[in-house]
Amino acid sequence: MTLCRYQIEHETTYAHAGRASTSQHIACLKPRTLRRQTVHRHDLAIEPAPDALHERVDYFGNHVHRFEMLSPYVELRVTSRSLVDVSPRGAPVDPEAGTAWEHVRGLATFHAGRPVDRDIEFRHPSPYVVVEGELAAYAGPSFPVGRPLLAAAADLMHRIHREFRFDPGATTITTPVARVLVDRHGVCQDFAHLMIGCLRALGLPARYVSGYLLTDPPPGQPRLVGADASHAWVSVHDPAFGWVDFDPTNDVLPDARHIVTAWGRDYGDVSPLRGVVLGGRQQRLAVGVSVIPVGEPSVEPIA
Amino acid sequence: MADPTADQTAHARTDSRLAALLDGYRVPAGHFDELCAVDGTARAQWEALAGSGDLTREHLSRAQARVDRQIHENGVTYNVYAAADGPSRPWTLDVLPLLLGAQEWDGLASGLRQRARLLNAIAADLYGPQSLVSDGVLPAALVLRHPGFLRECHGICPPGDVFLHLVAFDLARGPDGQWRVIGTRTQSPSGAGYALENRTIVARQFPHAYRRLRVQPLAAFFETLQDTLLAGAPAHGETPHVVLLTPGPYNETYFEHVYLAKQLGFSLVEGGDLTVRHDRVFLKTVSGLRRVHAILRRTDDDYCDPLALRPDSTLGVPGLVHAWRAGTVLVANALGAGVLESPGLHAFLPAACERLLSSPLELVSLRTSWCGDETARDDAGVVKPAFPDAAMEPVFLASVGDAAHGEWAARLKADPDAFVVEEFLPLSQTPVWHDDHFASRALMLRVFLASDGRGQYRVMPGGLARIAGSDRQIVSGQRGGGSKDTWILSDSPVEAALPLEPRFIAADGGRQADTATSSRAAEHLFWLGRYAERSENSARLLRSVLARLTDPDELTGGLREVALRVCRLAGALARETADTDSLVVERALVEGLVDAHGRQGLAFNVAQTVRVAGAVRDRLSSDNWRLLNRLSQALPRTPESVDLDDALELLDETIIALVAIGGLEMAHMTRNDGWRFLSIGRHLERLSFVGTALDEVAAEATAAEPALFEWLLDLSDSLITYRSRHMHAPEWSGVLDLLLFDAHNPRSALFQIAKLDKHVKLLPGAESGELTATRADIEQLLVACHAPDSTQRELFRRSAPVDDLLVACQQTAHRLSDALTLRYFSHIYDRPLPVMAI
Repeated sequence: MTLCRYQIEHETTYAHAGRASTSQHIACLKPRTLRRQTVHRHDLAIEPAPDALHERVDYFGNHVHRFEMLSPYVELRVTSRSLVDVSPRGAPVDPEAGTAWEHVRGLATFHAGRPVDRDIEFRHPSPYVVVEGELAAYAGPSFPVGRPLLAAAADLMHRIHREFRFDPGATTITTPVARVLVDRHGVCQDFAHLMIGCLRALGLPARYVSGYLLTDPPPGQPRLVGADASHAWVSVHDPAFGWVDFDPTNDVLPDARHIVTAWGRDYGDVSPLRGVVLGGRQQRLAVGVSVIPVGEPSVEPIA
Repeated sequence: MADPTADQTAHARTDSRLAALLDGYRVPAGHFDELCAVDGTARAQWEALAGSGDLTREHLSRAQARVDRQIHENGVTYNVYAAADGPSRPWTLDVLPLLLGAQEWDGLASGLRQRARLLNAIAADLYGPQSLVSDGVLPAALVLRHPGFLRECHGICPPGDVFLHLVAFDLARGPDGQWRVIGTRTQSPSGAGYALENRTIVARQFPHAYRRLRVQPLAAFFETLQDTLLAGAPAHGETPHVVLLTPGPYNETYFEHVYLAKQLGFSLVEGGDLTVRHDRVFLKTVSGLRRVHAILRRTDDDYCDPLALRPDSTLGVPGLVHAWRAGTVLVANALGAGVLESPGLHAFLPAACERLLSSPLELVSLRTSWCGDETARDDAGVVKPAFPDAAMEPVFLASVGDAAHGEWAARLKADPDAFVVEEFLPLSQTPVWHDDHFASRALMLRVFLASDGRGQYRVMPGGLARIAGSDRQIVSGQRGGGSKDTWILSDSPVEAALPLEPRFIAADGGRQADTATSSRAAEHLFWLGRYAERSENSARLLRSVLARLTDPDELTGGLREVALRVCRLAGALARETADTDSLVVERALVEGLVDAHGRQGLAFNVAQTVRVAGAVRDRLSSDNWRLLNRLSQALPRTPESVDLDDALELLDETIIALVAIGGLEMAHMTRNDGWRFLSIGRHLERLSFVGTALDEVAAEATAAEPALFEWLLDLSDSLITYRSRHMHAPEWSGVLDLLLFDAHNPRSALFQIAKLDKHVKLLPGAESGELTATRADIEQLLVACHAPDSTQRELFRRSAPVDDLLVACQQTAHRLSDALTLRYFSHIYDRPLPVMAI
């Protein structure tokens, strides 16, 4: 498999029931540049034009834009367009190699004067991943004594994929992880939060990755623009390998079909677009995402 | 630090006056006694106080009564959130100050200054390179798991590297007499204002002693805080505009926010009053947006910005963090400083101090083990959460049963990072004046430090001493108990022998820009004017009707019809009350008089007056506030015990208080935009009332009834004026003349219209927009009222033009209120709506 080039379009529209007088927003939409990922172009189009727009790199190294709308409007459209190259892994990850999970947990224990790795940050509960309930018990069977961390994480990912149902209507972004564990259904954000919660319940660092996934159109049908959604998965830290990604929604180790936008402790750190609106009443939200391999012919806009 | 026993110089005998008071004063074994040394003699500072002659039973009892009254009058209240609707609980203040000698204090102050510098340096590291964490000096979990560690604020360098402008520490003294730090307040410490308020009240009770003991004054501390904020505000040549950001009147320490804002000369604002544009912070005022350069906040860290921090916060300012990051505004204290409050840090401060300040930590903390540190397990102390998001009461491991002990051991083992175990410290005991004698109570002292902006800290020489209730070891404002003034004695003469009266420090130097009238304050003042006027109208109406009910023949005929109709319109009488039986009417009116919740009668209007006044306390004088306090206390809560005579007496008192409040507004308030909105509220309400009353009388078709006219004049406080002008019984034309067309009668419609015309024209931006139409209405009305000469007025009697005019008066009042709301107040109701997209 060779280098893959993607054209990504992520469009968000807020239609307000009344006029919004002013608003401020933070967008986390520009993909990160990584060892295996190059961002050739990124463009953030905002309609109506914002009164101020700033870009900066946040605490986690993500690119964030902040913009202010100071004139009244009814509808706001934010379109992020990227051209990104992703190269596949040189060699597949061998989950059986690497460090035993108990050892990784031990690295996080405090000893006065012992230097610690900053990745320890991702071992703690965070606002969207409250570590409670039966998370540790659920994770337990995947983590027998002495098992390498990555093998255990892969097993946990298989089980989540097998035992949970993908159901777009069943949860919201604020559904607690403990609830998802009981109800056994959700979407990619829920499965990512769940897996992160299981790992942290055992004292292991795990982070939340937001990005995009190249999907296949139904057989014999053309790819539709805007038919996709943003995606989320999990990254686990092994001192021998560094961060290794796991996608519990699709039961795969992400390779060249996943495009990384940002990472953080959970969804709250990397939500693609959030804001505070003054004066506008309840909004209607529409989001459309297209991930198109460059060079692929015949792309039709969605009706 | 200094040996705390150094002050206990040998005294052969305790002063006899003091000894006389000590009868029955007992300190339980195992506690340090602030008053007496181990040998039973009083400590030197207490001898000195006794020597001043102020320490007698008679004096103390009288002084305590004065203190209680003063506290009540000043409305110093401590409103715990839960009791927002209930009566506000007075903040108790003990007349006896806590006395500390100069030598002991100096040692303590040095340790406090070092600790404040240390915490500031830790903040700079955590929000910068984080070397304390990566090198294992501080446990990563205590910082990175703490909800108060705000990643959005990482990398922000505040001016002068000052993260902490105001710091507070809670101190307690153990049985060994040594002070220990038991708590740290770094977000937005409360209590400095209460300490100042306590001082101004208590020092007055001991005028001789206060001078002789050379008590160190507090004013310089507040000047330091003020100077630091004014000098640090990035105003770039403009006059710095500093605001105090409060969560609002429902906050438990709102009184203090008002008090401090007044003392420091800063505008008091709520989150909704501020807006961020182009990374700059502005105050929404009635004359447009006004730049803000520094914010002294009393809002918790994560509530300060719903965009960058908690999306559900309605108390914050969207975009504040970004403006702060851009360096256009100083925020005191730095957002994210709450992470320093974790009790888990205590055990690691000695190492951090060596590392950051290259010196040993001077002042010890309460011995505290963080359970995440395996080398420091402690299973006999008090379990507390390491992080503030865990709501739990402290657990005394030594006194729980075996089962609970095992349960707790398991909880600590399962999530050790989340807990600390503190040693149990028997608190020192201090005398309080209780039932005319000395009693002992557990003591805790909150002390305050202000940054000088250049890396050093100034300690307030004093503090808020807090005392437990009689049967408690736990000292907390939310569990009852009380407070004390704290006197630090001096070896050398002090700057001022007597405390400074509360003063507007900014006024003398003019360094702080004039306080602008925020839109919110303008609205509250407008409604203060309206409710105060409505209260007076209700009271006069009730008095005029109830007084006529004392004589069975007086309230009859047309007068009875009209008076009761006006009562119904004004909310003084329920619509469904039968009006044939005078006794029924009387009881219904008295019930309306005291019912603050139901219909919009007198008690309701008075309650609303006090409520809106509370929201603009920073703009009212203390005399004004005292009158409002009296007003709110005057009306009884139940009607049962109130007979007709009582009711009339109550009404007289209420009217006098209301008139006095109105007089203060005229005599003492600066004529700025705020006062103008208040006056407009009053004139508008008076216009509406006199219009309604005249209209009702005019509609009464029966022949001229002198009793009816007399009642109308009485209601409008114009009876004496009428009698001085007319020798005969009141007639309609004369009444109209006085109440509608007389430009010199402060109760007439024309008088109100002329005032409204004048004030509205002076409002900022009144020449355009929503006010244009209303201004035209007012001018037209003014012309109409001026037009008729005396002969024409005769023709107006019972005529259509008068009816039209009276209707126009009422309508203009309504329209003006709507127009003002639309033009000046409506945008403050834009509730921040968080939006989020996947």
